Amino acid sequence: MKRGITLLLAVVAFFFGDRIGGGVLENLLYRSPQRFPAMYSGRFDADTVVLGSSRGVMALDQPFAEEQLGKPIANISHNGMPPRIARAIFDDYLEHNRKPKRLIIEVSNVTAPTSEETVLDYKPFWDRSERLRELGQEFSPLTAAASRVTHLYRYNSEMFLRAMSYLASGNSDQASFMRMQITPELIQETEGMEPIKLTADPQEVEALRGIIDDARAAGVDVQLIYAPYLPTYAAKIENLDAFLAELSQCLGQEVHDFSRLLPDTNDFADRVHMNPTGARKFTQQLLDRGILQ
Amino acid sequence: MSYTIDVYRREIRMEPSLLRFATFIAFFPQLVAGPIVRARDFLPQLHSDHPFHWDNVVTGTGLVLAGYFKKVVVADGAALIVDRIFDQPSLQSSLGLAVGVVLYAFQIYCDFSGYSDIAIGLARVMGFEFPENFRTPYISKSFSEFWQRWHISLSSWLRDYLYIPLGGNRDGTFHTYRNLMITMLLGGLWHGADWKFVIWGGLHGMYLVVQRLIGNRWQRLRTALYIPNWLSGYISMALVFALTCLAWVFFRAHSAGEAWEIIGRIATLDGIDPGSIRNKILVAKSFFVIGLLLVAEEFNRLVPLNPLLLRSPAFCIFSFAGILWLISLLGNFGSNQFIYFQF
Repeated sequence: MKRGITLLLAVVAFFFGDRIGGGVLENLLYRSPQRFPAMYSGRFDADTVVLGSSRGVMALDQPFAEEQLGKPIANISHNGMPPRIARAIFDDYLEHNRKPKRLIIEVSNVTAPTSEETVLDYKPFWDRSERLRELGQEFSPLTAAASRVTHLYRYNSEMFLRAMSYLASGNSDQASFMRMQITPELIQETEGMEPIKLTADPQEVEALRGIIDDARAAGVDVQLIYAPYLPTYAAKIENLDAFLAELSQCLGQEVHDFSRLLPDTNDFADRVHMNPTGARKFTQQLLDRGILQ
Repeated sequence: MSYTIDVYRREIRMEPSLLRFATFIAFFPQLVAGPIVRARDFLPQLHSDHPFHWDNVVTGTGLVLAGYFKKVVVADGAALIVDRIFDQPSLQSSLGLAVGVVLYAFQIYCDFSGYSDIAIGLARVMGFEFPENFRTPYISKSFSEFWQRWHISLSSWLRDYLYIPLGGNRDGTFHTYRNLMITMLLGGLWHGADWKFVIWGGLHGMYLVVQRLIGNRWQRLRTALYIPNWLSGYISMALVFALTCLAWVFFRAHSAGEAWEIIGRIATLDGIDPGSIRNKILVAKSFFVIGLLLVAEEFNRLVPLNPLLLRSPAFCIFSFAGILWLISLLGNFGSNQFIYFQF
């Protein structure tokens, strides 16, 4: 019987520690200079906001752009972020921060449907975002329930670890680069690839249209861009022009096509991401074309 | 199979009760992936009563929790990175591939030993004792020691029903080496009809043969070079681990050809800058939890935990709560099956 009580006390100790640990981790999370804790703490004060997936994250040479513009930019893109999550994030941005003048969206994420895995990565912010919590409930009711039972579980995500690494280093993640060069093997593998056909996910297109509507309703100007691809990879996409034309038509606004902007393979870290050299050239183009202003 | 062979060899008596025999065959904790419980170990337990004991519940629960930690925290966490690396090896640098191989070594260890711990723990809660299946295999200083620590129930099964019937080490050096190679090749082939498993088994057979060939020469070299015992131990441990990892590349790769390609890429040392590793956060998390595991295993080696769990309620409460906190915070709850379910 004494052993039974010991096991019961272990369960009680678990919940007690769980609540204390959850509180401590929440406190640590919102001290992090990473983009989302900063956003949910209302620490952004930017005229331009950039939104997208990893191609949005790596698109800009942000220090260079800020130096040229003389004002800060807020990049709230994230790896694998599809438009349905991006809409929740952008609406939350408007709710917690000063309204920007311009929103730049890198739209290639429209081909990737929102998945349970991506939605759940944002669960550390469920306590501050009704929209993200609703997505979590829709994609994984079990996880939503589990995060109510154990508070530590809310912080069980790569996003939280990322925030902690930026907290430890004290650096912001606003200037993110893939500091590497594409390998000859990957270029060769890309050359041997079968042709690719891009298909937009209807729900994601709908969400993207929602972001544009929400931004316009808030008086924010929207620019849509398509970041550069490795030239050999772009050449493998058999319907790139038709895809972008159709997307522009669906969204009721032109998508600025930069997919073939950079012919030099030295500007890329892999097939779909630029390295710092490529990001600098692309940023210069955005400045020259007045998309960044 | 072992029941049939043991009865044929008259090493055990035939079980007259169909119910007991069916219970032995279908006992659920070890049914899917082991440990391989032999009739001679399990059937006698069915002939005695198993009254409920809280002590069994406490130590059994401890094993189940430790097994879940190994599975959902270490193995499934490593799987997130390992799967990405082995699915697209051409995107990785040499260092990235080497990291993937080391993580796979811990993934498969924790996946399988985690399952074994859960099975042994569940059986113990019900009052049954299963044999230990893993004993910190990566601290082995030789390959024969490795196979005394890795999947013990399979390696002892192969020894008793294959290696010894083939002649074991009774018929001279050549036959011993032949028997070792045959046993390990068949052990590899048991995992699947694929060259990669044959090569994996063949490599381990070769390691065992070469180890015997080198024999005392290493000891003599160590003495001649004045290498202290402790350093020699660490060198042997590192060497055994590295060569085990080399063999794991074949086990994990999609084909033998891809395995050679991965080994070739690692050997070229093309890209050894830590910055070239992808998913650094997840990699760091994986190495952190592997560190926790190694510390816990070393602690368990120095201070056996079961008596401590029974002696100190405070230790029991905080260690159980602690494992649950770690599982909540660091566990991966996707749909990752146990690796050995496929074999």
